[in-house]
Amino acid sequence: MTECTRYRDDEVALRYVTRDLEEPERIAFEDHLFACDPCLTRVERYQAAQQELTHRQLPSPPTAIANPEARPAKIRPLFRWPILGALAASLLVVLGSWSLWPRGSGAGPPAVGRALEPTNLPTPAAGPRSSALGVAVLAMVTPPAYVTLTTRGQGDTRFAAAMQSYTRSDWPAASRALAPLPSPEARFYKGIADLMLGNPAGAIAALEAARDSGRQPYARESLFYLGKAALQRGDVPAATSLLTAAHEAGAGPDGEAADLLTALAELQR
Amino acid sequence: MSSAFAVTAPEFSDVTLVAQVRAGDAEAESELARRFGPRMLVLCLARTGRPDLAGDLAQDAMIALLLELRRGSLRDAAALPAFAAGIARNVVRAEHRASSRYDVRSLDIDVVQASAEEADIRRLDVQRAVERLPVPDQQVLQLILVEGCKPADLAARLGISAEAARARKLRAQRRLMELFGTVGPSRSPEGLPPTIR
Repeated sequence: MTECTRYRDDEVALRYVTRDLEEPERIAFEDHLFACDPCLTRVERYQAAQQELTHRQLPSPPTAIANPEARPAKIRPLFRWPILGALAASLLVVLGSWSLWPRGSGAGPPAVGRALEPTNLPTPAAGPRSSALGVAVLAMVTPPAYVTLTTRGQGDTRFAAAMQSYTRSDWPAASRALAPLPSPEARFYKGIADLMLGNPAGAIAALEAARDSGRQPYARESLFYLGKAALQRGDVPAATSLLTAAHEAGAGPDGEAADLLTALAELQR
Repeated sequence: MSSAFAVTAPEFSDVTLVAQVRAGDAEAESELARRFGPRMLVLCLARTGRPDLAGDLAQDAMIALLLELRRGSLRDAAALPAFAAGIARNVVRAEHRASSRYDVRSLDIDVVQASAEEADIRRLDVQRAVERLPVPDQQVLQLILVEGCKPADLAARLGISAEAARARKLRAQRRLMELFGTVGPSRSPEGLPPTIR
């Protein structure tokens, strides 16, 4: 293995593994890491040692008891080994964020112009440094969970049947079954199913109908997913506008609209 | 230098690699996964601190990278490493597990699986290397790597001066790297490379 000419020792690699680098330095090191084999080896070794030492029972090192104030008040564990609750916790986050419905008053969403025209071709509008790929990554969608509450009448029966496909993640069947149903709820979930199918045009048509219905929470939540549809099309200005509206309306999983706006701004720098 | 984590020299230049992936060359795709799969993994692990999640995120990032290269999204092939790192960062940032854009069922990228095939051997190598360290060095590394101690914290925890703590830290680091350099097999080209179909 040849030596790295940029990082002569492994200090930065160690600081990277222990998350002790500021974000700009961290990004610079990562970009370098993706082209440097010696630094990759260093990082892999430290991460491997980190995992091994996480499990290792060692006698306690001698500690300074003469000057207890000199001891750090609290050391943050860096490395969290998988815990049994991790999966349950992540599920709770997803479900919890949606259990916040209804949020706010019954007022409609903030006025947002028709930022998207479903009939138009995708119009990548990212700046030269804004990677279309980065936008694509941000366009990924986690479908909101759906929990059956009531079933009433024929319309609800059809909706319930369609949502069985939705809960099975059978997006083609869900989209087909929801297509003829005019309710805002059905429009909203059809929009989600179309997003999952990678069909932003269909998603936009359905979600705009849900948004324009004014019925909450679907009108408000549609803003966030319209932003996702815009991202799927690579339409960064429209996505920014819609996600800003979503953020202001409190739409989408908690804090995610704001996070996406931050990521988009970073991509465009 | 032979080490448990040595990386073989790339067989393709970035320009060639990008061009051949775009042309659908399966060998180039395997090389792409071999070169960037481990990097995606270390980045995802460093940023999440969660081995259980890092593998999935690295897989998502590799799929995203492959598909974007197939589509010709990368204009400047020289920017491939930073491009790949940016993808991994965005995947970690988004932490979305399901992709509507990428039909992952139609792809089979063995980045993480290939790592798993070597995992037992590597784990043993790591265990051996760490065991051969003197216990005080293991303690120092545990404080740094697991508990996140900075040098000042280390000095306080060990009841030694800051200068002595720095010396202990550097010594433990050096010994660890030396031991990694003397145990275990290299990641050889004869090993099963990650494949993309």
